[in-house]
Formats: sequence, C-alpha cells, structure tokens
Amino acid sequence: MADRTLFIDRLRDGLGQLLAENPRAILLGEDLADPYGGAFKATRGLSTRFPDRVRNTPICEAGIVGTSIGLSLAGWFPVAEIMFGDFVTLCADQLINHAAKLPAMYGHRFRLPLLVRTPTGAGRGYGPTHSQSLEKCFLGIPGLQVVAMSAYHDPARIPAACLATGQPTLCLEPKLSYAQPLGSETLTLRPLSADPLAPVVVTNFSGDPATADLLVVGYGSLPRLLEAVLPDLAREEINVTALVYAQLSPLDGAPVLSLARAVRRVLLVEEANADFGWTAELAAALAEHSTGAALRRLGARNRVLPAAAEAEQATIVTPDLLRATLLALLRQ
Amino acid sequence: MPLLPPPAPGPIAACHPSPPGDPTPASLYAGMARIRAIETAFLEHYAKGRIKGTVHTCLGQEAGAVGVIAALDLAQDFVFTSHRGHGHFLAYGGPAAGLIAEVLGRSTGICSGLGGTQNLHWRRFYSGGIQGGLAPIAGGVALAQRLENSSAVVAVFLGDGTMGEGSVYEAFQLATANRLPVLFVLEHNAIAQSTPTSLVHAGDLAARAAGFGLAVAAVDGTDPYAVLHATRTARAALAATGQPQFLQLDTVRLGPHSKADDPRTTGEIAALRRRDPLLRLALALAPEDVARTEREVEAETTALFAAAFAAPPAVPLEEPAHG
Repeated sequence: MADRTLFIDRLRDGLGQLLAENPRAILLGEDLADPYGGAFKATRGLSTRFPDRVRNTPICEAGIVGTSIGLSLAGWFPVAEIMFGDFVTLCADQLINHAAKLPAMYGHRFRLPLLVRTPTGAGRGYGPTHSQSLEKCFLGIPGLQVVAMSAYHDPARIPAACLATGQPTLCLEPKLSYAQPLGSETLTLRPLSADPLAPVVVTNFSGDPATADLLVVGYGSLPRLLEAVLPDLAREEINVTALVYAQLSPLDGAPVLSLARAVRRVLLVEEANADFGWTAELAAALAEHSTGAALRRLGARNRVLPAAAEAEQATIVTPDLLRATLLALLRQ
Repeated sequence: MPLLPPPAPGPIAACHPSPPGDPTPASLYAGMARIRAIETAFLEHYAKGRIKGTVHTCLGQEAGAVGVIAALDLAQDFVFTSHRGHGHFLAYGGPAAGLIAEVLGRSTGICSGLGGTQNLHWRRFYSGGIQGGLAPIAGGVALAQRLENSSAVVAVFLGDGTMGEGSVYEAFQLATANRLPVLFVLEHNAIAQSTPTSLVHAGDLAARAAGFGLAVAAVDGTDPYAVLHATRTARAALAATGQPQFLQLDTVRLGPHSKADDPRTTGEIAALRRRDPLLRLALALAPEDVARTEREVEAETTALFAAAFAAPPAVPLEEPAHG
C-alpha cells in the first residue's frame, strides 16, 4: 500500500468535509487562514473555501475557547485549534469551569457540541513548552471528554464524531504522527466497533488477540512505536496484542480488563511521564478488578522535557525502550 | 432589615425621566423595590442560618439592572452576568420563584437547584461564578448573531473588580476586531469584595476599554433613567455603527460582598445611602405610593420564600456511563 494517506492530509479532508456538510460548523484559531493554513497545515485551503467559517483569531487561547463555547450555546458547531498542546493551560478555565460545567450547572444538561483540537507530544526538539502531553490535567473532569487521535483511527471522522456526542471535547493530535501514513502495512487492525472513537485492537500475529503473550495499551503516538517494534517481535515469535484508545476520558476500561484476564502480561503506555496519568487510572481499574495480570507502566521520564534532541530522546519513550520493557515483562 | 435604612444627613439627588418614551417612575421603582426586597430577604435568611452556601446581593445597584435591561429587546437580546446577578435576572423577567428556589437549593429552582446563586440560566440570560469567564463566551454568542445577520445585542455585566481578569481583555479585543454586537456594562461600585478598587488598580478603567477600540460612555449608575438613556444610546450606536460599546455605571454597593463581610464603617455606608437609587427615585413618587409598593413587594417576597422553603431539595443529575 504505497499510497497510504498521510494523517495530516486525512485530517484536513475531514475538517473540510465537516464544513461542507454542516453549514454551522466553524473553525477558529491562530494562523488558520490561507495562505499559512495553520502551524501544522491542518486547515490549509479551508479559509479559501469557507472564508466566514475558518477564522483567524488573535493570540488568546481563553478567548478562542470562550468564543467557541458561546458559538455552541448559540447553536453552532465550533472547532477550535490550540496551536500547541502546551497552551491548553491558557484555556483551562474555559474548558474546566465553563465548557464542562454549563450544561450540568444550569440543571438541564443541554448539548454543548464543541471540539478543541491541539497537537501534542515530543520528539521534534521543540523544547519544554512546545512538546508536552498535558492531557492528565483534563482527565476525569465531569462534563469534559478527552479524545486522542491516532494513526490507527480515522482522523477525518473524529471531529464530526466528537461534535455528534454533544459534549465539549478536548482532542489531542500526536504531532509526530501528522506526517505518518494511516493504518499499518504489517500489523492487523480491528476496531472494536464502527464508532470512530472505539479502541482499535492491533495484533502482530494472525489469530485471536486474547491468545497473545503480551498486551500493550495506549493512545495517540503509540502506533509509531508499535510499527517500529511489533514486526520484529513477530519474527521472534512473540505475539503481541495492542489496544489503541481514542476516547480517554470518560474511560471505558472493559476492553482492557477482558484482554488482560486472558493475556496476563500488560504494559500501559503514555507519552507524558506516567506519574498520576491515564495509565494510573487503568492500572487502578486492573487492580480493583483483580485481574492478576503482571502490570507495568511506561511513560516519559519524570523531568521537564529538554530541548536538545539527544536529551529529549533520553527522556521520552523510544522504540528501543518499548522493546526492552516488553521483553522484560515477558520474562517476568 | 428595612428596605430603606436611613442615609447620612445631606442632599439626595432626584432622577430624571424623559416622558413619554420612558417607563413611569412607579414602574421602575416597583422593579427596583422587588429586587431590593428579595435580596434583603436572602441576607436575613442567611443570617438566621436558614440557607446554606453563599449569596452576593446587589443592594444599591438596582438602577443598573432595571435601567440597562429596560433598554434591551428581550425578545432577542442576550444578557451575561456574574456572581452578583440576581438583580439582572429579575429585571430580565426571570421568575422570582425560580431564583429563590435556586438559591435555597430546591429542585424547583430555575436550574434545578444545581447551579445556585452564581450560576443562573433562563432563556437568553446566563450568569457564572468565575470572574470574567463568561465575557469571551458572550463574544461567541455575539459572533453567532453577526454570522446570522441577527440584530440581537449581547449585554455583558462586569464589576470593577473583574477588570483585573485577563479574559475580559481577550473579550474586548475579539469584540472590536470582529465588530461584534456586544455592550459591556461596567458596574463600578469602587470596591471588590473588601478591597477598594483604587488601591489595586491604576488608571481609568473606561480608558482601558477605549484603548481596545470600544465606544465608551460613563453615567450615574444610581439613576435608572440616566442608565436607561445611556443604554438606549449605546444600543442604537451599536446597531448603526457596528462598534462594540462600553458603558460605565458609577454605582454603590450598599450591602456586604456576600453575607456579612463588609469592612466599611457604618458611616461610610450611610454616606453612600444618599445615592441609594430607591431613595432617589422615591423623590419622584408620592410617599403613600412608595409605602404601598413596599408593602406589596414585601408580601410577595414573603410568600415566594415560604413556597420555596416548602419545595423538595435538589437532586443531583445521573452520572454518565463510564463516568
């Protein structure tokens, strides 16, 4: 499959399709408009096609998300872009105290469709304030959905799927995956359902995923690591099943629990440092349900992300580190 | 607690209606007295421990509520306000029974008792407990009006204390850059919780708004007619020019910040009472009409509170799946 679509192109197609199909869909953010087309080019061409509905804003993340909330209250379907995931701190009040609260605190849980997209993750040497994965700050907030795109989910379908939930959603886009082809040439991908947000079951062997030697669970940039590591393990006859999530919070841990009971060796991966993170929530679920599976977590080191490339590589999860951790878990 | 405690000795300035287009002094007085009676009753019930939580009353600021909202087109205009929003809610026409039940945590509250005093929503009225947080949201509603070629206007009440929040200035710049139909109303009572505004803010607050390109006006916020006329002018200018507006109401906070937390001396407050909008407007009415209106609003308030106390307590919403 030499012609596999790149993540960023498919995402851009999806945003264009959303604007074409929904006359009340609207994109807001910094530098979205042509000819620039967004810092990562996710909106290139769209302001030319939809000049009123692809709108450049000043640099004001709280204002961008606040405006989006107001548009949603007025019956629109806003998609806000926060240029780097690090900047979600600047709109945290709008997400947590406003978007997540308004429907419930006004007592009648009305729909508030609203999508805030943001590129996350390290590996490009952007330094400590342009490389983070801050999703842990937004997990477990009642009324706020957190979703992560991945190369194994269809980025074109996720914006519309998030808006269709009627819930304010923070959507992470693993920026290293933007230039990655979607899907996989070597691994078998099986979405758990037709829902674009459903977890995808990945195997490096043919047969029942529950018969694997190892289970890996993660999201976002995990497919890049799996593509680098799982084919080699297959050659060594180590069967691995992975579960790649899109909807992180609220979390449906049932697929992990059922596979963990069968596979018995589980590695939970996240791109940020794993302390107090999404994997900790899953680990708690595994413990509470007494799966008895051997369990490890793998994330970045507990330090501020360095700018220098070598130091950054020594901090984040690399294919080598994933491979070594899986082999250690196998011997456990 | 009487509705009209005595002011310090000294002159009380009259208000200035412009008939025939204006509402009568009697009708504006009734609107302000109703707000005053309900707010006063909230404080009395809190003092007796009959209500839990908190409350922020707008005693002294009633003229801003009734004056601004009388100039709006309630069939289409939006109102956004803050923690001190009961008066705006009542002036907007929000049901008093629903407001009282909401503050009392009853299931019959306007937001099922779940939002409480600071978080009210009814029709196109919204309040919120985060300082300045609703300002950019109001701008988003205004952007929708512009995209839909609606003639609706979005009024946003702010306090002078809120002028410390960055989100307000993000909302200003988005409003002017996009020529949004927003009328920002600054209720300047010169005190934020316990801190005099002059101690922590430098410069002129309205000049800040002007610097963002908003059309700025300032008016005596304790004269409901002055407020009404200024709001009409601002609303008309917004419609004619598309330039977002900023109206500063110089007003007084006659009550505590919340329940009983006012560091000002009784003498200071008695001096402010000479600007009490009810006392000022009462000069335009016969004393017996004032007394009758007070009896009526107090009787209505007593009945509304009795009904609210008798209502069942609020129940939480169901948790969503996987919550």
